[in-house]
Amino acid sequence: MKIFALAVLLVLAGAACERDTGPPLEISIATVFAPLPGTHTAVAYMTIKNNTPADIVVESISSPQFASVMMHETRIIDGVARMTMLKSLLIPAHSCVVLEEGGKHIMLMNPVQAAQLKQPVSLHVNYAVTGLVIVNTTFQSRFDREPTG
Amino acid sequence: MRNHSIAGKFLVAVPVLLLFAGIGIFVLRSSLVAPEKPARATVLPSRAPMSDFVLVDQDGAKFDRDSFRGRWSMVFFGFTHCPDICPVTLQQLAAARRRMAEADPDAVLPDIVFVSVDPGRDTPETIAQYVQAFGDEVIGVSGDPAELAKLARTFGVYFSVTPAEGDAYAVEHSATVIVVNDDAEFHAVFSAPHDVDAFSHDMPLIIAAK
Repeated sequence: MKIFALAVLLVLAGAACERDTGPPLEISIATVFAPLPGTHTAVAYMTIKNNTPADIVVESISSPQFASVMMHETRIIDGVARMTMLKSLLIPAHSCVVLEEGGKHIMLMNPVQAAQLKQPVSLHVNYAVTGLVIVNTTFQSRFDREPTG
Repeated sequence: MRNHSIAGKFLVAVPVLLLFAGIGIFVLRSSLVAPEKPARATVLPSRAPMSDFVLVDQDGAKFDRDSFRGRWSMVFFGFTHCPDICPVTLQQLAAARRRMAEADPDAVLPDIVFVSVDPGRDTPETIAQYVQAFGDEVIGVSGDPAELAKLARTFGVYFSVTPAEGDAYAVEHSATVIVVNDDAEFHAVFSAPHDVDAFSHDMPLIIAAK
């Protein structure tokens, strides 16, 4: 079942990256995990597709539900987990960038009100120069599915 | 008549010879096949005793070297505000433990010990809420930075907490999972990146081989 679910996700991700039509910046498979009990930090993962022949730079991401949003990347260097803040995120022409567990991700801090499961959450993806993609989804629990890896 | 006698002896001898040959091959194979070894974990050639340290668990109780005695533990250093690798690793450990229980209801199951290296924000109350989300078998501990450093040194674990702008922190920590045996000794280590299969495959072998 887990393998099947993973295969479906991979097919969806692949399909999302193969199509080359649609808006300049296309976002799919967006998942926002609600803060864990006792914490004020949520995390979002997604696939960002650049449908244009030119590189696109995501300059910032914000959310009306959170006071602070940052793009981060987890790197394991010599066995040490380092979380690096990304000032921007390059989406190469006709390419996808996948934000996923253990890699690039979006950290959402300090919710303006309690983040409840299944409640709506929006991500505003701002890209150079004046582009904006708004992703509307709902808070999910990371315990609703088996861990990756 | 003589031919019949030879044929009769042949018919008896062949199955007997085949039987002995089969037994011989089985015995030879059994002696040659080595016991299965952990695929991903590195078992220390000699167990390392732990140094003294005193931390506090999620219930506010003392957690020291003796707290590890009498049970196997898988230890991970992190912090509750870590959005990515910490919850992912704890979830993998909890899933592996469930898988071990399903595979063998009589299995010795390790505890999962989450050591917060961010005691400034991770109070026992915060840690209690956090670890409960991963399951009853997860223990959360933290405490004085000097005591955390003692435990980390025992395992060769690195961590660094650097205040940044506002209430933000830059926290770095080893991503390894440490295996402590039921004699409170540093026994084995899993290096990152982790996966559930590696934990659930290797831990029963490590425990059985002690």
